[in-house]
Amino acid sequence: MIDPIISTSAVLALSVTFASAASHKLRHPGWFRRQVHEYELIPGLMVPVAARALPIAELVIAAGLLWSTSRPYAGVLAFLMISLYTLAIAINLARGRKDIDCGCSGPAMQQPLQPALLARNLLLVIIALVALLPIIDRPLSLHDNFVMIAAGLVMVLLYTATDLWIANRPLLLKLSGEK
Amino acid sequence: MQALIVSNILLWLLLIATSLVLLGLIRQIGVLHSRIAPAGALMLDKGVEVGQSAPQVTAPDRFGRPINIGYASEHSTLLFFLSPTCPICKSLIPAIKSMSRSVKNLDVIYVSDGDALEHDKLITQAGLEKSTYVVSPDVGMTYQIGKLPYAVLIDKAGTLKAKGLVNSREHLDSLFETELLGSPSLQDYIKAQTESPGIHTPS
Repeated sequence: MIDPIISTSAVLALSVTFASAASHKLRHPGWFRRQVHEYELIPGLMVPVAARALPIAELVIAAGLLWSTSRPYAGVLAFLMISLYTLAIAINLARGRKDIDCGCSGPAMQQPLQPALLARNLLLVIIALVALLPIIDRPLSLHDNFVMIAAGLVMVLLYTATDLWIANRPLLLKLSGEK
Repeated sequence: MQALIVSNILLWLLLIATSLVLLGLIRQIGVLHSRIAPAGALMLDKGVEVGQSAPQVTAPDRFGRPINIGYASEHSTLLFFLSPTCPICKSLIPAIKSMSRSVKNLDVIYVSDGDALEHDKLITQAGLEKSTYVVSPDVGMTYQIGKLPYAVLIDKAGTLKAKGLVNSREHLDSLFETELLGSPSLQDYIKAQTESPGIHTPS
């Protein structure tokens, strides 16, 4: 049992992350199709279908997280989705394919697959698990609502910053000639 | 109780602000990384050597007016060789435009060849309506340009001051830098520095 503030702020952050992930996939369908193809996990014929279905599923999850009735189902789906994505990165890392673009943050920001991404996704998995925990039933004041939104916002900002930070790392390694 | 709530709200707002600053800083680091992208390693140096007089060509601009290139004139000339099909060329146009505004006594001439329709599209897109835009294969052939985007700097006397493949604003700036250093290329400058004793150069 956890306090509703923790659960709701985690849900808000997760929902925004999923919505933004879906938005750049829907805005650049050609780019995402190539991305799915590059991961080499799905048979060629299924790639266009998967590239269409994934962003729609993400959007549905993002919306589903916002309502309390659909939240448990959307939370489970979100957890599965992130685990699947983490597994896909792990498989490709195990194959030694460090040169492909991870496709994490849209076509504007390319970054190669790297173990740090697994840690980042683990963080998302933890947030999804927190969102799934049962909530203590207590009346919420205006201040509680403010804290939920503020905490959700800080989580999204910090997540985006971490994402950029991870993306900058290989560039720095390249500069210092270690790669 | 009141004080605690106010303090709590204030702390949250400050935390949001801190996260925004952090995000902004990391973004800037990313931008810096893309700005210091490696220079073109390929040095296909053909054509006239730096320091000699530039070949003289006259080519019509897109309105058919003759443009003299390589002759002595009141201004220095920057030739920018581009193509509508090259994305890096397009990304450099804003840098060229700001340079033509900030550097005194500099004429910028955009040089390209190929389909007129595509050039019109590029010109409207990049807002080059008032710039000198030459569409002619002659200039590129005279200066033996093999790679794009390429830039050539010619001084008032008609001497070729600097030239090279330009992939970023920094490469473009370096063309003017070579003029300041008084050496045709950075490599020559470093060589001259190491030969003269008493001057420390980083190894």
